[in-house]
Amino acid sequence: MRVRLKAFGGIAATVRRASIVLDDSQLDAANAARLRRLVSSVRVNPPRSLGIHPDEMSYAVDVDDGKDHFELRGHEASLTPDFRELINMVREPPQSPPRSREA
Amino acid sequence: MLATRCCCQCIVPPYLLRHLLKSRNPRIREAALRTLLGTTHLRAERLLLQQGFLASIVGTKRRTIFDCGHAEGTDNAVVKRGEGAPKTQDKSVNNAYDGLGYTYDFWKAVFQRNSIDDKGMRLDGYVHYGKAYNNAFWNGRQMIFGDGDGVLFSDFTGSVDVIGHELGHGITQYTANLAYHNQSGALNESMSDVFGSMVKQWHLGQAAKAADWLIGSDIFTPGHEGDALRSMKAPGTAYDNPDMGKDPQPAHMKDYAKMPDTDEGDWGGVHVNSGIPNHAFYLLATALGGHSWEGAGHIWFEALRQSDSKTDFAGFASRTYTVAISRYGPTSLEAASVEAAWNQVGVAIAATPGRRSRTPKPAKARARA
Repeated sequence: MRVRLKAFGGIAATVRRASIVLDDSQLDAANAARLRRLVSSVRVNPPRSLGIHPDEMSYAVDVDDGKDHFELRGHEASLTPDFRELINMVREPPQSPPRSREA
Repeated sequence: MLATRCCCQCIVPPYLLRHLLKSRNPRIREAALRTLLGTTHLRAERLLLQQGFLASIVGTKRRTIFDCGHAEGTDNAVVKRGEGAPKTQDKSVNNAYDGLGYTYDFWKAVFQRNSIDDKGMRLDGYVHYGKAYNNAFWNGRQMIFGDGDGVLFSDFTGSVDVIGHELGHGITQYTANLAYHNQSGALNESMSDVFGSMVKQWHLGQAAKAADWLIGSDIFTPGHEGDALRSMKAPGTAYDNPDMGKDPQPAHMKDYAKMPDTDEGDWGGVHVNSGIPNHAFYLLATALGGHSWEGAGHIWFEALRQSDSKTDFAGFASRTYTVAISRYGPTSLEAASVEAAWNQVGVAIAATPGRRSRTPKPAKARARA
């Protein structure tokens, strides 16, 4: 499973941001399973959209598991705990594997 | 009974509990109060009660700064400094406290406005939100500040104009409530830049011609090449480097960026096209001379008060012109300068009684992904 995180918005919305990619092959078995569980959980229980607040960040997680390709979306103030955990896992993978950054 | 059961089971959100505090039924009031004081909001709500919720103090500053402890939420934040309390050891707490104070004082002194809602609303700031969080935002009730990643951005509490900007979103919410999409959204962003810049100038006692007209110049790390997030004086020139890209703000309608109304598209370019009304305000303030908040600021704020959620650039420009005429007269320097400012950024002012519309030709908008 390959996951790519993109962040948008914020008071510095116009500043260029790199997307962050995490592949479950970079993780040990337990963390790879955790990644898949979080993706599945967020897909089943997406954040409720409460509308965007001024300068609020929003996130898109692009998921490619080899068979299926889909996107998960949420705004900062309405993220579910699992969505937040997923974002943090992509940002700071537990084993600090080499990550690719895409402009 | 229902309220009591809900309160005990803690499934009633805090805003509803606060509403229940106003109930005519003393049992409901008591249950709501007891629950509020027993939840993780304990400290915040206790401070709220101490600082005037029950006493209904109005017309006074009521700042509370909370520490999120690097969590990405405010529910478990801890009160670090309340109104009138001495400085703490935490610079972010003190910065936020001071910045909220400057902003409150500005609105009180210049516009005789009693806080964000003009009803003495508490000013709550949450610092140390998340880890290396590169943002500050207004969530409809509170101000949230990140510490920055220390690479590109530093502490977001370190900029008075950023604090004034975010609270400016609160002012807009309680006045025109400009929809955060396309031109009304760009106006929303621009109003916050205008207010944020005025708060900084007022705090520094600067005349319009002496001000830097930059937004966010203090939130960059010292060694990083970048002047600011935005320049109202020269939109499109705030930054240009490999890490950040190039400031995309236009200064004229001919360069208006047509962007998708999505999060990727910045909701129709609200942070991009705000450069156009930003520059109009700069042109007006410097044409009038003196302090920006004395002439231009009053025209802009009164026009905001007369606007609604769908107001676009042309509608806002026309309102500023009408306000200038009604406040200063049709042949005044102010009215002529308002017209000239909007004309210079390519925004048409609609016909008003005694005046025919003189419209700069709209240019084809640039399309952006």
